[in-house]
Amino acid sequence: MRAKKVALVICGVYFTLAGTPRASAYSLSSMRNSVFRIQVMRDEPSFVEPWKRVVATPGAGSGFYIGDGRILTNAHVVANASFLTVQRDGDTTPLPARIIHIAHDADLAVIEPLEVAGKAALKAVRAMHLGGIPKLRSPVSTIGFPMGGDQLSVTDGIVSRISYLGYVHHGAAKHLLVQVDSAINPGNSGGPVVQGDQVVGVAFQSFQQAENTGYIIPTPVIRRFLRDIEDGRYDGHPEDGITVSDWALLNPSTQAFYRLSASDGGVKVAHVSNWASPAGLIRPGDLLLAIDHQPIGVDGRVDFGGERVDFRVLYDLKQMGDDCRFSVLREGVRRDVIVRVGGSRPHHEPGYTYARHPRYFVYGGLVFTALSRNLLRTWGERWLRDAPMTLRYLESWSQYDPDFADLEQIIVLVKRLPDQVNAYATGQLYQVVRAVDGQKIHNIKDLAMNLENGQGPYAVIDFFGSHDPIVMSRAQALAHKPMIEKRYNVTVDRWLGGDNERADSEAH
Amino acid sequence: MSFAIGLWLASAAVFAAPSSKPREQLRMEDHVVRIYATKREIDPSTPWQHEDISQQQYLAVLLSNGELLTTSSAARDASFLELQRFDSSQREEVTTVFVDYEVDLALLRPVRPAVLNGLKPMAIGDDLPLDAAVQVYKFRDANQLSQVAASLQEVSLSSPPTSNYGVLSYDLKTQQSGLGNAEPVVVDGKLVALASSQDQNFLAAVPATILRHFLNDHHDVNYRGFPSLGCELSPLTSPDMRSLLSAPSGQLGVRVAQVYKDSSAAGHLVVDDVIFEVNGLKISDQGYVQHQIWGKLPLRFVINQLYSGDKLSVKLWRKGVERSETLTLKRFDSNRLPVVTYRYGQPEPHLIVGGFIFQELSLAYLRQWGKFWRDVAPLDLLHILRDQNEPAEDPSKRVIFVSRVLADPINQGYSDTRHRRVLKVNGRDVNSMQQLRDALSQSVTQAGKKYIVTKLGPEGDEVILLESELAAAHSRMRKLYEIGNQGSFWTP
Repeated sequence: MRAKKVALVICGVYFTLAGTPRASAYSLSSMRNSVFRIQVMRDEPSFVEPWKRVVATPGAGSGFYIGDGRILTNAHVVANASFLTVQRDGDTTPLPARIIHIAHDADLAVIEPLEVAGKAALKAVRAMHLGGIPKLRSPVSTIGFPMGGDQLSVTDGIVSRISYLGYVHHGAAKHLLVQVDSAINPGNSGGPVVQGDQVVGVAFQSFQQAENTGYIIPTPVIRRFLRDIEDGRYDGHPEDGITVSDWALLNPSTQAFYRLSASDGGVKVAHVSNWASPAGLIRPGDLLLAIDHQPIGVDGRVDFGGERVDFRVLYDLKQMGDDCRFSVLREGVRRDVIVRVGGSRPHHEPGYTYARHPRYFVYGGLVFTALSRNLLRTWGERWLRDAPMTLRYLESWSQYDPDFADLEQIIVLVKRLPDQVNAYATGQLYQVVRAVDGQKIHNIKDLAMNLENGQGPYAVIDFFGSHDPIVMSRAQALAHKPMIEKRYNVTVDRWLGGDNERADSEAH
Repeated sequence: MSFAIGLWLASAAVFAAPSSKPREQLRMEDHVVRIYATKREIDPSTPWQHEDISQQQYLAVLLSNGELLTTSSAARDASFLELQRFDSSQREEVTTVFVDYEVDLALLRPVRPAVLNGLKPMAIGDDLPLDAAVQVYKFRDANQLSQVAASLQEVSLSSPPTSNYGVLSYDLKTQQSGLGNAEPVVVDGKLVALASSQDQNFLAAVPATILRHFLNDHHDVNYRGFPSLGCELSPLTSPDMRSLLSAPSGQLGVRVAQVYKDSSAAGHLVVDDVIFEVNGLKISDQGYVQHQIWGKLPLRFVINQLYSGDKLSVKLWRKGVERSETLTLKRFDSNRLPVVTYRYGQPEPHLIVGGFIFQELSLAYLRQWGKFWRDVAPLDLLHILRDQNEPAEDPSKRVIFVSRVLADPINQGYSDTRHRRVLKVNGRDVNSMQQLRDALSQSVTQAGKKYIVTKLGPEGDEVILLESELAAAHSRMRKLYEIGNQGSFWTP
């Protein structure tokens, strides 16, 4: 409970920077008892035969104690864990643990020892405290258990950049992050990055094309996560769904058109996704001049504790239900628009999914699943080039394409389990389902319902970009179901998802 | 037309029998000349200027009327053509008589006809059976050709390198690389095909039947060209689909999947018709007709054999009821699609407005991304090519896009714009260069000043430029980027 109070107190002041840098002044011995090696056996679902799970693989990372019997780490360290343990440097026995909360979009997770004895052992551990954002060019130390040895390792580095960039574990989410010029190696992930006796971030990813370029999750993102889970449920970062034209208002003609001066700043809204909270409140063509009273520059940045960062950082760090105030110029009139953050309608989210099962449905031996980055990755490391063009296009552009923008999930035919009933459905692999019996399909539940409950003797499945539908006798599909499931060992023919994707994930 | 097809099939059946006459020793150098093509291709990303001058070599076969037959690849983008006999070191200018890019064939004629004196014309040979052994003649050096052995592996319908017309093609297997430059394919001293492209050990060649079609058509007063059916067909192997369409069971007939507007099929065929016979030839459920020599061939092969303007008799089932239709075939035009297929030798339409280069999306533009352009070109442009590139009612419909921006103070803040589809200009849809010009002339007035407002896809960003500053900006750009009179600037 103490940690919760701390988080509550501190969460309102995430602009505060850490005090005078003194990375070398801390005592390592005082922290070594608070840092854990986390070992994991992973058991991932198959995205092409989704009723199966692929062979378990081992993994390892780091984590640190934040009080209340909880250890903070990265989501990617414990994602898809079938079994995990925590162990401090010098401890003889690893303690079995479990995930309490996991935030795949923010790459953070809270875990705890599974057994009473393990929980009791943590009572003697000193909780590490969160500080502020480290200043540029200040020294930091990364603590953890990187590859290449068993002992706790400390790597020193310098803060080189504060940015709003992609979090690799999610694949599409962007949040505030801090770049440091020290290597973050496999095994470091989830470990604390400290300045003095305060944690200023969690080590989580590196830039492989450059040497000694690591990234850490800064404390505003960590605090947002800890506050989000206070009610026992992780709701996630809000999505603004706003696409803006950066730099448009740098243009003198455009400034003149809107009767602005060079010092007015602002960005122009190009698109607002229909599923996002700002839809209907913020409009294409609006000029966003300020967010929460912070002026937005023509580069789309705002002042954030003395640094310039993307204006979306302020929106991104809010909790669901918070208000966000935009100062908008519309049709020559300045006005304030208040957006109640959160409450996005279901929509296709680019990136990886970490649901326990991919959403899927098997009908007449045809396997349909929802498009995800995981599915694209089945084409290998070069999926950006090797995966079918339409799927790559939809992963990037579906929200702007009127044919796809209203889809909750993009349903793909990923496999044919050969049988007499589907012997003629060989030309539609990897195509995206548009309609069943003329009814547009918005999600996997739609698909299952329309295929199973359709009235006609034949199910007609139409695909985007194709004039060649699959036609299948409903009676035959039903009659052949047991044989197909037996032949291909399809243990469960569907996972249509629950009401809350995040609740369906590993947190339990 | 069934007569024409029947005749053709009969003649095909006779061929391939070895000649009983004693053969003269064939000296291909007496029938073939070397063509030097000096090329100046337009740079698709800088459409007012050409790529570096290059020279490519092809072969051409002498015909009985004194014309030279070669592939259209030799003639495309050629600013100057020369021939050289194998018994001479002199080069002589040749001109292009006629080109059909759809089937990759061209006819050339020397400016000074006497240069061909002493050379012997070559006759067009017969259709080959599968596995037939052939000789392919390629350059050895300036004075002679060398002979390469090959065999006919497959007869298929594929698009030549110069168009997207599905046309009959020989796939010849050979161990020799470096072919595909109009090398003659010869059997018994007759030309049976002309090599057009090579992919590893497979050499694609234009077969004699297409050569004859092209030459016969050209020798008529009006070239009618190769036709198309104007619809998409899909196999009808699924019993469930057959039942849904009330088509009789069996293995006959293909489904009409789509009918293009203003095409041969428009007004005669509708989606879900089942075509089971054309010109007396039965069509299988996979869309094949039976050929006497080559076995099954796609239905489009039948269309290949006809000329635009010919009638096509079609028998079909519509909702289970048999009916007949007679279509008048229209000429296939690769450029009837929104994405331009080819524009060889023609200027690349473009318009520069405040540094924004507006162009028509073309295959040439996308091919700039190299051999694997279909994988690595911008995804939204590839999506247009794949899903939005069907023949339009208005043949002038094009995909207008901004390829890039010539940086200048007038476009400050927008200069990173690249490869973006144009959605609207001044609030108007823009589906051709003419529509672009029309839309540009309808500027938006704000506080007494005129602006050009361009909306770009897929996100919908808007670019706003002050019209009164365009002239001065264009003047700066002409100087800075050394754009001559070939560059088209739009100024009100």
